[in-house]
Amino acid sequence: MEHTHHKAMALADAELSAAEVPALIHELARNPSLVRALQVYIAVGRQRVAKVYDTKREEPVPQWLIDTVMHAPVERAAVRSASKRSVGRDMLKRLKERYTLPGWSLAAGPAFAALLIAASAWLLVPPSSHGDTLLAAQLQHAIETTASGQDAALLSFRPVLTFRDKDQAYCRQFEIRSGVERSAALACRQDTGVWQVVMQTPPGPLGTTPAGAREDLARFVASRMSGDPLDAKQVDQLKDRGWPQN
Amino acid sequence: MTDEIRSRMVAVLPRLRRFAYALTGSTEHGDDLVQEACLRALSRVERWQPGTRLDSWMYRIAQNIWLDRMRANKVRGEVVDVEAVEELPGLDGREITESQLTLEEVDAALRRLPAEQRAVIALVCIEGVSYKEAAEISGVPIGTIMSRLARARQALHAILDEPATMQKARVAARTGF
Repeated sequence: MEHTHHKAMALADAELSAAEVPALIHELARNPSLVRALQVYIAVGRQRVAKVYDTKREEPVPQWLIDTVMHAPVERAAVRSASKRSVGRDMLKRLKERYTLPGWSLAAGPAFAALLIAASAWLLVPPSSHGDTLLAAQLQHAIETTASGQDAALLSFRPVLTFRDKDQAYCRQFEIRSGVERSAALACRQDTGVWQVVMQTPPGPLGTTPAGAREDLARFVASRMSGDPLDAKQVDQLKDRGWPQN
Repeated sequence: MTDEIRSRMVAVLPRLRRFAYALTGSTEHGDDLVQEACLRALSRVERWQPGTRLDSWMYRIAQNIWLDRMRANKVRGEVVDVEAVEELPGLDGREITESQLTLEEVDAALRRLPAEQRAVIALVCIEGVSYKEAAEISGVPIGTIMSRLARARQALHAILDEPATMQKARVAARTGF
């Protein structure tokens, strides 16, 4: 029974061998339930469903994704070559030119720690010491728009990529969102157990991406990463074990 | 060699993005998935065998990353995307067999399927890979792919044939919205 239905599906998908078609047609002529099944397979068949998604395929690929593929390092635990250092320096220079706010300082030491993440819990230090951080923008929005007695969910936090960098430190790329804005960032875990933001894109409205910012972050992530990104199971284990170094 | 693979990967990106969109139901999340899949592919590029299909290898990597995430989410408790509520079809119910499907309808319906069924629909129906290729990408026998695909299509058809009001009520019951 199931086998026959699979053949009907294969017929709908043009995957049935020519030799099997006559027998299936014979079966269809005497089996109304098989005809109904075939109708279902055609109704949600390849051509109809694929056509729905054609528009997604025609969308231009974001430049930051192309850059990720074209420039990400290939070797596992790559030894830094002269050319890679140069790329990194160029990128840092560009990023520093793009982001003038102190809060966007890049990988330059502990003086500008803006965001602390401990395991899945995290804490933002007061924005006054770090310029126009996302928290400041979100707090502004919350103060301006939240009715008395209502809670405002200031932030949502969503990690999208976890990996070890070339110094074997854990790094997490993530998005933080408020009701109206989002920002993407990369934080790396210091030996002290403190997560330090090493790059953050300026906050922008949901549904839009600040020009060039995401591309820069993706390239920056690619330049720091060593080896494979960690999968969800590995991340869960690391969280449970407190992000051990070894 | 590597430059050639990078160029070929770029050529695969439009399809990989569509596949990732079908899995995640979101352009942003889909692009995040594509980014991770590309980085992972590049970091283990020596495992790709010249002469085999690069796109199938990329699909496999992306699918595995996504399934890992879905399984991890399941352990933590299902995450329902609130945006999904807004993207459900409108109140104008229609017969799937007699009308055009829309991206929003199919996308919302796909999100209600189990992860592995969603993945096989994305591979076979959206990306158009053969049953045999889908089996290789997913690492399961072809019979498993066919069973999974048949169940997925029947479920998808049933969801798309539901009156839109029922779909909204069902999501509301799950999300509390």
